[in-house]
Amino acid sequence: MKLKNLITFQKLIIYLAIVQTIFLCLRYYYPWIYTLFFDEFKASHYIKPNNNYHIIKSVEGFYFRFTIQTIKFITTLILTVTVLLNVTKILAKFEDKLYFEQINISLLIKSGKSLMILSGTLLLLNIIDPGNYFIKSGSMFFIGSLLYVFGSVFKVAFKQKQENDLTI
Amino acid sequence: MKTIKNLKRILEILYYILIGVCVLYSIIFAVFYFFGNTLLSPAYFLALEMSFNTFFSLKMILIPLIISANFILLTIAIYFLRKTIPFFMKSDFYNKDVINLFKKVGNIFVFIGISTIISTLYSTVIIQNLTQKETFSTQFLFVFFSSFNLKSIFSITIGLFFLLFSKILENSKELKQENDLTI
Repeated sequence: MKLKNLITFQKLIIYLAIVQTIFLCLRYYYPWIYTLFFDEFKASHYIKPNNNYHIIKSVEGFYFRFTIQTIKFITTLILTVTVLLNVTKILAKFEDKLYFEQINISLLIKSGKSLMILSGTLLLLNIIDPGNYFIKSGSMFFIGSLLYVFGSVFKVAFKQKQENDLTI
Repeated sequence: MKTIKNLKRILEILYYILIGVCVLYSIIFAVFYFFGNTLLSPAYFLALEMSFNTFFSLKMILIPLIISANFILLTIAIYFLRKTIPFFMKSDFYNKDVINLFKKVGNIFVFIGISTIISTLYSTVIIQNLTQKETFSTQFLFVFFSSFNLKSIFSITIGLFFLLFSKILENSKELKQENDLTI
């Protein structure tokens, strides 16, 4: 596959990932908002039943769990979408044949750090309030560390390129 | 250099965990395959044997087979990634081996993502018998979109990223060679 086609395909997948992330985040958080206003949410309210979702407002500790779920929802939504948007920015630079640039390096490192922070936060929140979540912290940490290392590799390559340019 | 060393450690831990899980699952499978009739209760063993020997045997085996194949492929991908680390440590990014290994890893991750989507779609549509005639279109659309889960999309994204990096390194290698010739 040519580089241009690869970038176009990658962009398409990234947009799909953004839409899917927003959809899954809202799908996960909706029952909690529903319970806040209507006191109870049953699994049958969904097309596809999910046993985890039987939430009752009057049960003790509801507001504590609600706060944790809100932090989970906001962190996932903001960090994941930001990372995916950063990747699209990097892809736009690649399209212009600007590979080893300072902006690409900083975006890659920033994205890697964001995903690692997200995985750490999810791990911590899952310890406090265990339950099923659509993002696994382990896989996020792996992807984050890969992006971070790619950033570091680009950094070294950028330095080499600068040295080469100076030699010329 | 410190980050690359850290990645090396992460990859090594991940690789050995994956190998350990592979071995453990193989042992469990072998034990149940050879001593299943003594370990399991007769009724359970008969039900298991019947479900694998009937008309639906292929459907029963296909999903676990895809999952196992994906797991083994992931282990191989991590092994290939491990092999690239020494080149990074020597700052030898434009090596032909690195480019080839990245290409292989990319293809593996894309395959894992696509096969996961297909297996999810297959298991939901065929095994759970969701395709009732009157609501086929809406249910199929729902199943189709829900099978594009985040895990498989991220897997395809990583795969494409690796393919992209291999292409970039390939292009940069040519540029570097031209530069060296100019000097």
